[in-house]
Amino acid sequence: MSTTVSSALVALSDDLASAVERVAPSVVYVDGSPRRDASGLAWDEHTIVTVDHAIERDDEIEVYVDSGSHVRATLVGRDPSTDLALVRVDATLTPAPRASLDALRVGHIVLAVGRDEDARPGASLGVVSALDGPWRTWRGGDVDRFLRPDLSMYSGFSGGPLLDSRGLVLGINTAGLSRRTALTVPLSTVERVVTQLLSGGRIRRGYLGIAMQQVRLSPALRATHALEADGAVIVVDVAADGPAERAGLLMGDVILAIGGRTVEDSDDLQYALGAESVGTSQTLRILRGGVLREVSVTVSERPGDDE
Amino acid sequence: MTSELDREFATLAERLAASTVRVEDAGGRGSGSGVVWDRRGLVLTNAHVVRGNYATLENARGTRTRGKLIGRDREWDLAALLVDPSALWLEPVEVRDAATLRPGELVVAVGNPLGLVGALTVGLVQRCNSRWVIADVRLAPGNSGGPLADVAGRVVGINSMIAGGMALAVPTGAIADFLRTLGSESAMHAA
Repeated sequence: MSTTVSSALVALSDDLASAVERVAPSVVYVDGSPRRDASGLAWDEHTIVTVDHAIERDDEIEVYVDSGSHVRATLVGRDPSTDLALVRVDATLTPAPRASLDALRVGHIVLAVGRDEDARPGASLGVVSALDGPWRTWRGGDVDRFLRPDLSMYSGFSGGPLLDSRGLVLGINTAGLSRRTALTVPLSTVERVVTQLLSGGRIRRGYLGIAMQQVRLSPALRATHALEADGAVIVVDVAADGPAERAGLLMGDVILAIGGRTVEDSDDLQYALGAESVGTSQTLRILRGGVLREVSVTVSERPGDDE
Repeated sequence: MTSELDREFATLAERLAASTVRVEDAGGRGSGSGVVWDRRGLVLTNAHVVRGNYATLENARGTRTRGKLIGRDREWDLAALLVDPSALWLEPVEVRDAATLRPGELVVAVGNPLGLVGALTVGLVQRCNSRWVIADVRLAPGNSGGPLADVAGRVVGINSMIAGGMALAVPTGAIADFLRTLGSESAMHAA
């Protein structure tokens, strides 16, 4: 039959396939959890960026590279606040070319690439759905740009790269920063986190030295104290000689707000304990024995051995 | 660029719809889509769409005719029907060897899912082996037997099933093998 050559479409299709082909050697499958598949991106010859939520153990992490072979990896560090983790391998990897987000606009075509447990690459096509300025994750991590691609994030695509239509890496995809949608951590943020993880193996986080649980506030209690939120957190443990203990916080205290921001659950408190909170004095609004109080606490830096 | 893509997508959809027919098993035991394979009346579909020996075919213009089963391979989920070429306006597809597909290539599926005629869905090739072309193209039951094509409009497979959200299509290599097994009645048609 007569062939109508769809030149723009065919060119686009070829570009997409070439982009997948070019980035594939830089994309690995990461086996760091019995429950969650993840991909990873070669950051330099020996290190791989992946997602923190898929690394459930600190050793016996394996990555499956382009050739299909399995390589043992060691954890360099992790940053739950941005859902990034860094692992190192002995194999020689090929880092992928990167792009700046400066020229990126809503509607631009993007590709997500991942690798499955049989070490085969896969891809998903979509567009930039939302693009905004800096934001803070539910775990208190600072991300330079809000970037939400509209595409299917298949199982195991978390930790893989988001590419622009030229095949250049824009960031790392993760399903771990929002319950509703996949997001992309932009390269500039990945760069900053990687540098910090390589130098110290961790990201500075604020620390109060408490364990907490979410509680519901009864309508009566809310009415008495004119509280808008129906939830708060209750202190269930206070670490010896930690910031909270030094400030006089007690087990059973109910935290309603920190630094003027309402605390409805533990995420709200985590959010307030970003890197910049270390060393600052914060006012906690608490309920103790049915009485509202304010307690001033000096936030210290979270010790490295717990998250 | 965008208007060009729009226009090309529309042309592609029209072209593939012209080669796609609705297939209804004469015994009412299945329905789906079919691909017009040549001008002499060969139409291919899935074995699970045509369970009996006859099927009613309807093209995009609404013209209906009867097709006679001339071959079926349940293992590969393929069936071949023959129609009187004068009864139906037929626009055969162009075929591409699925083995040449690369992961990340754009592909489209055309069919009659949920009663829609000529519905188009788009996705990317994930991989291709001798058994399946796997693509993240959204399919519905009525897509069965319809074409999976590249964006130049060349058919690379016949949509057969959905697994894990992915479209699985019988690749053109397997279709060629199937056509070679058809009896003498169809040999002249399955060139």
